[in-house]
Amino acid sequence: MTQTTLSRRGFMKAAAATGAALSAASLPLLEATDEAFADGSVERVMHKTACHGCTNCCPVRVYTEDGRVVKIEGDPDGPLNKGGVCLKCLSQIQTVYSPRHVLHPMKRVGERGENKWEAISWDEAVELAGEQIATAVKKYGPYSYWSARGGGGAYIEWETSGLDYTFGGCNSLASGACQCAMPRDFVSTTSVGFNCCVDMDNVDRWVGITDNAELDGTRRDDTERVFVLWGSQPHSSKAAHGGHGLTDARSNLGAKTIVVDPYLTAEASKADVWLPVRPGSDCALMLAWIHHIIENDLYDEEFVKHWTNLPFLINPDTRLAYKAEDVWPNYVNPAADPKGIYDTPAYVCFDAKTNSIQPFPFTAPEDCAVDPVIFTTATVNGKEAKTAGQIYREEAEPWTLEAAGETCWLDPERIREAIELYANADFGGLSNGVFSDHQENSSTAPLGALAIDALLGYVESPCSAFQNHGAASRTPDRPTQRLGVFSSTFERYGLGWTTGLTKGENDRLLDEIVAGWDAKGRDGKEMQRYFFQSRCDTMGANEHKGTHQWQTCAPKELRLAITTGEPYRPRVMYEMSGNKYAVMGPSLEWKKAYDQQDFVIQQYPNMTSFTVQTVDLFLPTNEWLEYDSYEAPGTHFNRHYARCQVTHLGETVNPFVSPYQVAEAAVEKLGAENVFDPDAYKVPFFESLEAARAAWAEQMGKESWQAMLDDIDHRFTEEPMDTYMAYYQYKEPVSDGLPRGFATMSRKVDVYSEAMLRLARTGFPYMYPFDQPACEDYDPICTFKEPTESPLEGQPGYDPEYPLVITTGRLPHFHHGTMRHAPFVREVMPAPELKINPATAAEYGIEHLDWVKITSRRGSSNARAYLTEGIAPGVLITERFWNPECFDETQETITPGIEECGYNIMSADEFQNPCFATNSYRAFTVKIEKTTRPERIWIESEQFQPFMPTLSGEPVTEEVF
Amino acid sequence: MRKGLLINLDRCSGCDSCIVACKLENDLPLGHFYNKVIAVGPTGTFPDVEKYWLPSQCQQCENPACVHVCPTAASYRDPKTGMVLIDKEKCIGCQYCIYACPYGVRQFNEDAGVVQKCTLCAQITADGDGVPACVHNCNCGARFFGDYDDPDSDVCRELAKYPDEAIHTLPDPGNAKPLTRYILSPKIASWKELV
Amino acid sequence: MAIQWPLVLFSLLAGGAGGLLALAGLSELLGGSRTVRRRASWTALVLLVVGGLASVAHLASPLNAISAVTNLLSFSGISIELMLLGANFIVGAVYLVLTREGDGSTAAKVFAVLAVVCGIAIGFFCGHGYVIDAQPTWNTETLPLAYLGTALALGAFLYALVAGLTKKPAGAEVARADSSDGAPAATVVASELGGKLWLAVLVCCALDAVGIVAYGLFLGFDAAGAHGALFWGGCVVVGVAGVLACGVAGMTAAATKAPVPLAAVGAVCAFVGGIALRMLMWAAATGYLDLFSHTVPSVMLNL
Repeated sequence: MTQTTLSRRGFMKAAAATGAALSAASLPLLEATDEAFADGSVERVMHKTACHGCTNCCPVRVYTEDGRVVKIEGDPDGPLNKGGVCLKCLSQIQTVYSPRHVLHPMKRVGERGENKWEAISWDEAVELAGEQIATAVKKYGPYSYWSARGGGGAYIEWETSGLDYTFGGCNSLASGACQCAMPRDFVSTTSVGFNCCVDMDNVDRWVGITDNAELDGTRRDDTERVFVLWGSQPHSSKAAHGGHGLTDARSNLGAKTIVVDPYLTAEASKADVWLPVRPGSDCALMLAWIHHIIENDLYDEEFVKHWTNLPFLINPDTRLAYKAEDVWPNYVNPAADPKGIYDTPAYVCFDAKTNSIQPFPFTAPEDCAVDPVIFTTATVNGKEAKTAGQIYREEAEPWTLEAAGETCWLDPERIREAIELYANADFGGLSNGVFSDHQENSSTAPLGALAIDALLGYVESPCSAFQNHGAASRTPDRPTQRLGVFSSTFERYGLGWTTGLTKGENDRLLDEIVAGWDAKGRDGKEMQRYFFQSRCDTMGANEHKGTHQWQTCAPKELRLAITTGEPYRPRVMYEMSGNKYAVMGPSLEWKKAYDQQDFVIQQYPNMTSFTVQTVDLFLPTNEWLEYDSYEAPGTHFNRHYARCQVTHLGETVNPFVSPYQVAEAAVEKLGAENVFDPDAYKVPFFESLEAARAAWAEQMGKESWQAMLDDIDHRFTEEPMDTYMAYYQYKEPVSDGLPRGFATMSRKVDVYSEAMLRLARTGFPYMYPFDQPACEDYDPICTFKEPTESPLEGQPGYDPEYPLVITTGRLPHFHHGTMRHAPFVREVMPAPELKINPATAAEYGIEHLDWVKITSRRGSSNARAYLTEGIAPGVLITERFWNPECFDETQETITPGIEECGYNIMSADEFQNPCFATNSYRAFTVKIEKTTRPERIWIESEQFQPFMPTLSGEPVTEEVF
Repeated sequence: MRKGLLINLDRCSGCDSCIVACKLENDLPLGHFYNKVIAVGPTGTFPDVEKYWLPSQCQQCENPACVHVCPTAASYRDPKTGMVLIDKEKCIGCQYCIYACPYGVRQFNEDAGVVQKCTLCAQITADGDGVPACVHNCNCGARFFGDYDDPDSDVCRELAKYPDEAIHTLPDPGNAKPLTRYILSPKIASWKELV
Repeated sequence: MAIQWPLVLFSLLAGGAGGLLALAGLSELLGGSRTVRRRASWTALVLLVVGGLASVAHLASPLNAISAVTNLLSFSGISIELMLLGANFIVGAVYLVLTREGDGSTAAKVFAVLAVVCGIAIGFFCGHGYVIDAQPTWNTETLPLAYLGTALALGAFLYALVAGLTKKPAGAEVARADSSDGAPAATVVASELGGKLWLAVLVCCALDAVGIVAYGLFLGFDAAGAHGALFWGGCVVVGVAGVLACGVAGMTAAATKAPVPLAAVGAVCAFVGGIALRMLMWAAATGYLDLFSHTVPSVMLNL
């Protein structure tokens, strides 16, 4: 094989040139497999672990010979993947031995962009990183430090805050968050009481069962089960996981599907009804569904009356629901907790029995004294007040099927067909995919999806996206909810309201935290105030308060702060997520910001074009096959899998260990007394792999990590199936004699999101007991706003120069910016494809596989035309986080790659979702022209030879820390 | 015994996992394939279109043209398993089997000087246990391997779930009798003959 | 499909050799110069060797040819070609041995018949191996007919050329030919095949034309015309019109005036036409369902 002649490439060679001691025999991957079988002299060892190629962590079996990984395959015992794994997972046998996998800390020695590195020791690397952070914090204050994270499959997400608050910094840039899942997390957490955003385009429900007995793949009844996949692509985003489950549901259980997606995705090609909605017009379509459901009485009246806040009368001045005490000051709430711990408010409705407004306390439906009218207007305290239902109804009023058809470029009859199929199903669930997290409607679309399912009663019912699992959610008492799991630092410093508890109980809990700091010799009140202030000082956090949900900052505001220095300039960046050029747009503007950084530290398994262009110090972390973890994600149905190291090369470090080392060094230089919280980094990070393993083993309820490993067939924790699938938990009675309800302020499903209003006005619930300065209200319901850049003539955002609307989607081949250096993946997907209708292509003289230059108001990039009738004329779609990673010694020049092929060069942050600061990665407008293949872009199989594995001869090594 | 693949296109999502699983298992260099996944369509006019994926590899013909034209008996059909294989020791690289294969699923390996094609992962399946890597790792459980003569095999059990109208073979230009069956239900898409 | 040059050359050269042998056999049976026959046979043997070597060049390794030979009894298209290659060589060689001392022996007559049979067969079967279901553009008996026609035309013109270049027949007796030394080329040529050489050439040219036209019609003008230069230029203009013109000219005074140039031009036309036909065959090959021919992304659009 030709690999034998390859030398290590790129930076490795450059590093060697600078005198670093890097040598390794270059052995071809798998070369010896056949011989090994033949002579039987090499023992093949099976390992079990779970993949970390994306968020789904499929269980796998990995085989080694003499410590060298020779094979990966799916674990047939996996409850969802059943032995299947995607090409990302399989290809990690190539990325772990990739010439781009870095095995030693690297210090930049040339200019940024030259790709010249010197291998240094970890001691030196940690010292340098600590020094740079400490110097910046000393000279410019704690806000000069910032971190970057995210992107799901990246190893580090919310944990960055541990480092931020060690120094008192407050800006953590997530590639995802504002652009992924955080908006849906907020909506589901505040409106339904638990985070089901991860489930929204996820997994369990795709199995399609209505009864645990059906897990054998056989139907037990003839109910109609219908899934709606709205901008959701399980076959791409979780091919072996939710994709497998969906396939089983369709093929084995006869589940029907409705797919709302501009492109004929794999899901759409198998759908019963496909609605190719115009990108950016989804909320209009959702309002049409809501309108049609209400006007045709298709809603679940019992559920809506008793389990949602739609019958609540809304105060027209405050836009918040009247509480019974607002109307009847002496009202005694029968649901009030005599101990004053739990809070279950009583509201006001218009009662059909008495034809009058009446108190509407929380009761079981059968015990309800009133018959609340959902859609009406009534006089309350002398004012005309609408019910929340009425407000929704009026918002949806203009959106007839015909109106939606015109706005969304759809056939009204097909919209009707979809709604009626869904509304008349026995069981249904709507998957709100990531589409909305990539555009201006990131807060309003999840509210619309929630409204549809709440109207139809598809909540905690079989097949529903709004699903609690397992015994943990079957609380003995009224359920409560404290912020998002990604905002744990709020709790550490005594900020934030726990939903479901009374004010007195909340205050007591926060005071306890403050007192705890006092007891440790710190001024607890001052720490609480500092933390509050720093959250207010977080970039964009006053305008976009939804960013608190995952403790991130607003991308655009951070970018502008760096480039303008206003209100202050973050200067030292610790990046933990990969290729920022690929995943953050507008990437050319971002490059200007990165170029202004004093010092950039990056930890990642492999170098990317971001590393080459921007990074000063590179800390090599584990590739997945070297990685131990029990962190979320990792759930497959009722199991949570551990990832278990299979091999270890060079000096790579677990990504949860290196930040600890860096923070420790920085704190030592600054002096513990001079930093905000010198122990904060010790919460999410670990001093050594051994410490991490001990903590994870404890989380798993195992004696030790080794004990867990020894039981090779049970490297997971498991919730028994009979307690795992537990539908309609809200109906079960709890300690106060009432049904459990939901962990929301009203204890019901808050279809009308008061949380949006409170958030905008005071930063509630995060900032309690403080008030963050108010901004304009965020919409509490689904509303439609034509995207800022519109392809519709006559709209304010229409510009004839940019007549086409573009959107993106996911491929099974890549997770976010990853795997672009996996040769077998690139061989089958060498370049981004621009899906285009043949009629549109003909207008531009573009033929199948011609190269196309795509230009937005931000910049231009290129893709290959893929002519297809699977997309509407005038609409374009391409893969979203493309980066060619085209830096290599075989190429004459090195570039970031984004101008050749990089979607995010065109995306926008100047128009955002107001609540979540969501950038516009979809539904903006562009122009196109035929062009030629950009320089440096490879498309033929053989061109990817420089990506082929070269490190498979590396010895297996011990941990550094 | 007639061992072969069954592919359920109702289930296949065109994810390309089988391609990479195959390449890694069989140590195929860049540019070499034992299987490919071809998108068929979309046909029709937007938005009234249909599309399916056609995973393609050796069809395990019962009367294989490749075997008939082989001058050295390097291409042969194992009388025990019915598997159509290539004995690389015997192959002289004349490539007549490539010309004679109706499905174009053989490739000439310039380096080795022999013709290569899907072996149904004989290194895994030869002892009667195990399934080819593409079957094992299929994301959607769309691929099945087994004996078409054994009603208890994975392929026969899956076939039994579908009516005749949903069961297809690639068109046969003569009397090659391709063994591989494809399941495609009319509600997903209409089967295209492609010739 | 990529044009397989070794196979193109092999089939035409070996087929042409077969044509030469067939005409030598006819000469033995119908009368002509022993010298011409022997020289034609020698030429045929050389062409068979060159053609055989060309075919070996198609294999991954020349040594692989041995495997092919040792598996002759597979009766695949290739083994039939190999058998005929060997048969023609043996027939030619034996004929040369038998006629070393003189001709007219019964044994020589027997081998003359064998030469006619084998010589025609190899031309045909070199094309017949390609008649396979998997290649719709090859799957026609017009293809081996065209292979045969082009091979015979080449062989016939080469025979005429050999005869034309044989000014002084070697050996003592020249049966039914002008016995004077240094007879003009036209005389030698004219006396071959009992005086019917040019008629035989014309017949071969007609077969060539019929074969090429039949295959062209089978492909259809659209498919064939897609390879315009090959089909219209190489096959039709040179291979059909050029060859026929030379063949017809052989029946005129031109054959007497300038037999050597005529035979040479005819041979060149037949060679070019034969090559063009074979190139066309490869170029027009579509496969039946050529599933791996799709590049990335692998997609069948506009079905």
